[in-house]
Amino acid sequence: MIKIEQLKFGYSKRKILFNHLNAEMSIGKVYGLLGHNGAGKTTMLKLIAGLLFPWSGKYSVLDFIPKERNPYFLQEIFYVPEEFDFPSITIEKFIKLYSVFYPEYSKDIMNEILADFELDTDEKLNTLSFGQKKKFLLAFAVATNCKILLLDEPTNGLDIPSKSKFRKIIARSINDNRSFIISTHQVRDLDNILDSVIIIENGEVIFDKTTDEIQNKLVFRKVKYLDDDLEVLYADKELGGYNIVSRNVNSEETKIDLEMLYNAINANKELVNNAFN
Amino acid sequence: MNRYINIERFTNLVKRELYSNMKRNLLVIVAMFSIFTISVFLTFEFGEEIKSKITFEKFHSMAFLGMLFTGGAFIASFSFIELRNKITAHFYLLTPGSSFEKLLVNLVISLLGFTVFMMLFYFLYSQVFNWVTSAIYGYHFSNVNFLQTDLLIALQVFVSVHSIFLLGAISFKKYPVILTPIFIFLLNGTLFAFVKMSGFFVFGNFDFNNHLFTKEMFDLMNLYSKIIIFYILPPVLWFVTYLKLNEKEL
Repeated sequence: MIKIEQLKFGYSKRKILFNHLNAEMSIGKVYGLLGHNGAGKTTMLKLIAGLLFPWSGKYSVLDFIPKERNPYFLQEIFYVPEEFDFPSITIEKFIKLYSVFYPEYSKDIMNEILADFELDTDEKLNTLSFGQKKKFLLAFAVATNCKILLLDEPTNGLDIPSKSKFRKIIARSINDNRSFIISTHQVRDLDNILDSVIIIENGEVIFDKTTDEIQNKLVFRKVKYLDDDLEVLYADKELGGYNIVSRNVNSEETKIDLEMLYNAINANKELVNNAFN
Repeated sequence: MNRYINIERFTNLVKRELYSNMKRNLLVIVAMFSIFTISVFLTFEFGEEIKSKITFEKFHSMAFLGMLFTGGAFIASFSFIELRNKITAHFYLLTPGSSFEKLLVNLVISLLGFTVFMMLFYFLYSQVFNWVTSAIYGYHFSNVNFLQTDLLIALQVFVSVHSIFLLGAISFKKYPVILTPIFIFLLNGTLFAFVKMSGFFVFGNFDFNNHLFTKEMFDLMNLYSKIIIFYILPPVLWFVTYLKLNEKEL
């Protein structure tokens, strides 16, 4: 579905972001794209959407070359950027003008999500708060039924109840025919909705595993003392003990702590990746 | 499946573009007609009485062309306006439509649509204008004749000028309506200086205006420049605009 091979891209010859980026993503999954500031998460989403063009390398999305911006490709992909603005029109008018471009657009899904987010179609888009605008764009993105949804920091600007609603909407909207790729810093907002975690650092994918693989190989828990028997890969000291990431030697099933996982990989990516071999 | 042009997609893009730019375009037209009307009536009121037959005959043709070129420059410059702002540009680029359709939408609205609209609207305006000026000042201006040769040639020039402003609209991130004519002025100035200097180095102080070219050669050059300006320049500039739109990154 998305194949990226030896992709090279930079904003200038002095600042090359991706030197030989490789990644593969399949359909029917929710991907979490993590990485520190400037790692290239947004750039990767823009490359997939066809908003940026790579310098070299092979890549295809749904068998299209994104940089060609083929209208049939654009019908199947929706990008929700971190920052955006709307024209001075009502929600209803926007839906009327833009929904016609997406053959699989569902009015029922749109109305359902708008009701979830408590948005009224009579409201003018430019008078909404940033959070409300984001809710509307997320609702529209999901309602287009595009095969690939690229969400850049989707929970930025959302209030706490809306973050929870967002997770529910993502969980109920994913199916075998579509994929969501979510880039975020706020890893806790993606709790329980990811099928796969991709971490980018220095222009390379340094970690790419499904949540099943992570649960099979790693354990996330809190302990009072650090013990050699625990096979600790990463430990974070906090009041009353340690939060640890360790090898899953006893086939335990623990809830993935994305923040701990991210910190563990940041601290020692080889050690964590070795746990999967 | 046609990735370059599809009637349904094109119609949707036209609707989207018309709705997005409707207020802005109408504002330009209203402002233009208002400024023209106020200045003309102030001139009639406080200026000298009009007696020249040519003025009565040509008044509406000149006014129509003045407004067509002025309004056309503004409206062509409003094309691709969403691309000038990073936070709105992705909507434009990712709206399912080919670059060819997106270019064509701007040509249909700001060139064809605006010209037809101006012809109809100016005709109606001139009728009211003539009736009022006749009643107040006793002036009898001739109706504008859109089929007269001079006007048709001017319309051809307008197509070329429009194509320059359309390219300016996608090339300049800010103030294309101002920067495009400045750029053209500087480009012309540079070319003129280059030709003059080359002529000086090759021919010295030889007066080639009078001696080098015969009348036939001047006529031929005139014909070539007409062909270039009317028939070659617009499609070339449209193609460059298309390429620039195709290569646009965010």
